Amino acid sequence: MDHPQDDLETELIDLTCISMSTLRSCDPHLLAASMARILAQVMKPRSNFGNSPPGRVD
Amino acid sequence: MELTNHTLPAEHFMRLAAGDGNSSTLQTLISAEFSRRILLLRILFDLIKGQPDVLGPLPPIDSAWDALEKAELNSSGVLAAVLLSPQIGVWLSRMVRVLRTDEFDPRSIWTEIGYVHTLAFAIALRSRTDLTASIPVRDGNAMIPTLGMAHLPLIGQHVAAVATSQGRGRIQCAEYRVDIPSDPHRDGPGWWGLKVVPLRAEKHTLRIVLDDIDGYRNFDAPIPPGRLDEGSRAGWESQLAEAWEILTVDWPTQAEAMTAGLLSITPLPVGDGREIRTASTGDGFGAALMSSHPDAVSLATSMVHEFQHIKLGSLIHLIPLVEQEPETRKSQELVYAPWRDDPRPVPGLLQGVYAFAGIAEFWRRHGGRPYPETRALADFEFAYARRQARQGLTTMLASPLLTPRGREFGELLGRHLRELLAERLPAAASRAAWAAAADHHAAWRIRHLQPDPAQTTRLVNAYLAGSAPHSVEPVPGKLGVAEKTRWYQSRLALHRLRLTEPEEFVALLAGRRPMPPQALGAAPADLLLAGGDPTGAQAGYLEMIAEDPGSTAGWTGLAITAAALRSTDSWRVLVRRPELVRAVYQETQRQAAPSPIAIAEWLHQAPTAWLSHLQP
Repeated sequence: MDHPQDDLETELIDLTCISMSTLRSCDPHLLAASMARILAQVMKPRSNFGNSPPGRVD
Repeated sequence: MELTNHTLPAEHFMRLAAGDGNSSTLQTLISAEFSRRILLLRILFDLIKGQPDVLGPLPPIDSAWDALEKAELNSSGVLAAVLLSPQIGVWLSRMVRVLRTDEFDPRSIWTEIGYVHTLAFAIALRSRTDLTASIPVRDGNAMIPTLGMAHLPLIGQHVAAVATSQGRGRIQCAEYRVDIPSDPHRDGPGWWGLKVVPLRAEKHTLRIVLDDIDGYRNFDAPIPPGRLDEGSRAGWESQLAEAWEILTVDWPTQAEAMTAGLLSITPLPVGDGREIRTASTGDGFGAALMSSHPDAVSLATSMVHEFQHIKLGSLIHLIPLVEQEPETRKSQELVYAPWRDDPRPVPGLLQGVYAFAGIAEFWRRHGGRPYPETRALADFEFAYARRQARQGLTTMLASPLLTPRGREFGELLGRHLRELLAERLPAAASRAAWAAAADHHAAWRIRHLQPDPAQTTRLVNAYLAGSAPHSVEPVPGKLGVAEKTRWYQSRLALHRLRLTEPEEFVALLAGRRPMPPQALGAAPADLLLAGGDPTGAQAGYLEMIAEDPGSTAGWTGLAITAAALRSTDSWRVLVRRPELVRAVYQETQRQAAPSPIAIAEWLHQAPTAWLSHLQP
């Protein structure tokens, strides 16, 4: 089995370096793909509820 | 403006796939979580702009965003810290869901949506940015995220005027005023500080919020505060400190990662005392709900458990590991999860496999401590958890729903699990783990797999006629809920009791102690089994079946005692197809008086291929 060698591409846009001001006025088309992905995740939330051993549940 | 996507260094993907990850791994995940949070904030901003009435009497959304921009100029670090609060993540996700589905009460939604103004106030206060604003107050409570809660003698919905100047904040509502203490984590008049517990051990300090007030601490619609009394808080802090020490010694890299990624614990109300309950959510990276634990080791285990979910949840935000197709029959496929009462979808199975791989690793390390009195328990828990993880992973890797990255992740995790499985353990621990796993699986099959009724009748006829079982054409059973009962946990609880409190167990066997709460409902046969008498236990299980031919506890007990005694090869079909043996026995019994073992031995004649055709 070959292990990944290079950085893995993700589906989330990197907004760590843009200001709130820039984000506010950002063309939504630039954000659309990531927004769609996040919305798909948010609209089907996942919670993991656990009980004591052995019934720990996920 | 050119924007790129986050990338995940291969090194971190592989660390995570091995069930680990250091603080650098977590920082990479946290950066991505920040992008996700501010993107959610932008989504919420757009939604509110589209229906401004949802803010009710509060100012328009633009004023909140203006405040965020201003505060960011003073401290982008504070902006990030507050936005990354798990409870803000829960709130943001919930608000987006609610507004997109229109599932809200228009008379009161403004008290939740309006939290965006409270968010701006919190960030302004922490960044020492001057601000005046209006925020919602519900039944006298106004949570200021990451800081504390103003609690006023009011009922219903109100608007409060808030102001911050030179790092000091005040809240004015009706005739009541609360001055936020200079250290907002301390209580003051009309103010409950959000408690941050510093846990220091070895070289690692975990500063964790013990959240008993934030409305979104329960991962859903806001709930009232549940302030811990001083005694309860002290108990939590003490046990957390012990658990932290255990983690820093046993698994330093995990502890190091937790300092970045385990952000808050919400104490759950005490239940019936028998079950530990824990939870986490992808919406609130870094948060866990936990009930009280009997000891620090079990708390440390739960911290590992939930932290595994936190890490995997964040990874999945970046890279899908399971196909995200629309809800089709294939995507709704349910499978067996060795730690659940009910069948689970593949994404849930993935979460469980990852959690139990972490639990196994924890027990492997904890068992290495020079404390012989805990060694037997650690060996058993390690053996059991690694078996559960391996079984779940095997099922997961057989699923067509994994993405290529998901399969790669699973295979890397499998490599790590093989290392765990290669570790030699005392035979008693391995046998007990096998029995616990077999017990759970057999019970699950009885509760959830329904043999085809017409086939069962044909099998009964074949048995009574003296024909071979494979003279009947096999028909796959159906996956469903045959019995709405939970897994019978008493047998396992007794085994753990024997390991952890041997003197108590001996007293229990001798009838000098009542059954402990965690083993209530245990049958006399279970006591015999836990006490090392499988022959006596098997006789007891046969009596249970004679009294109630459908007894799940009876059939599963029979299966594992047959395996322990090896007096008949039919133990294999009792363990692997208990639902079929039970169904045939129940129907045969109406016409004849076979023994359960005779039915099992008859079915055992069938070729393996025939039995495999019975799978749903």
